[in-house]
Amino acid sequence: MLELKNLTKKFGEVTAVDNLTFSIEKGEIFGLLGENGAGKTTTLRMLATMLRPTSGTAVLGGMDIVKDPEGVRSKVGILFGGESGLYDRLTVAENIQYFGELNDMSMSDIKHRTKLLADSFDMNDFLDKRAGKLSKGMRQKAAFARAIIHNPDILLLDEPSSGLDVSAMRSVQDFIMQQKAEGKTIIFSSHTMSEVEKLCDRIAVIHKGKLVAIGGLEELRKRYNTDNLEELFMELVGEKK
Amino acid sequence: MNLKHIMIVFKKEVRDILRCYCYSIMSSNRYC
Repeated sequence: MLELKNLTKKFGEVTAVDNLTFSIEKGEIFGLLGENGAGKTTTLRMLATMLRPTSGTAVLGGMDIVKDPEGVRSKVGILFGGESGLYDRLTVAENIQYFGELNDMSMSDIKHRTKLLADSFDMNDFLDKRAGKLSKGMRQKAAFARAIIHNPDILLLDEPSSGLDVSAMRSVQDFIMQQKAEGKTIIFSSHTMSEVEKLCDRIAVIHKGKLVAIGGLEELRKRYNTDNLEELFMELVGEKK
Repeated sequence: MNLKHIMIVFKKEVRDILRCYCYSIMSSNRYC
């Protein structure tokens, strides 16, 4: 479903992402782990076609990010943590509708899907409120709904629960599990080890742009002889400092 | 190519540019 082939990004002399090669199966939740500045966000930006790779490429759902970025954009839903990019002066429904229209959906499809998403994310109470008036948790729900209005096969989530309180974080995790149940492929980055343990089928650890480990959680625990993911992470990136 | 086809292609291009712009804002990156 998703294949990275020697994906590399350089900013001047600095190599932010260095020759990443791995693949992700359909229906998998795949975690990208790494310290700040490890290259997780740059990798996700390249997969979202927002950054052109310096060399190498990636194929998402049969489409190449370099040769067919427009095709890739129609296949993916993206959500980057922190600022959600919602238009504050538009209502939640209008924000969602705008994205539906950008993805070439008909108005009847947009209305049908908005209702479906509002019901499943418990958003009916604030669907007609301006995005600027919402709490961070509500904004994140709205941003999620907007990201998947066009029912994309692949979700790219960059620290989706960053800065959220416990209940909002739980909503995000429920959302991710729900999307997996619907057969979506999800790649997400996180700093929260408990979240990674709870959600991910497989993980990749990136350090200074390079892939240092990849595999299922159990597999990595056995390989590095530890039950604690945090210890495992520190062992992988700590010794390489 | 007649005007109708040109308009279809034009609308598709504009939609993608706007989507690109929104995605760029979302990922805090102006490059597209």
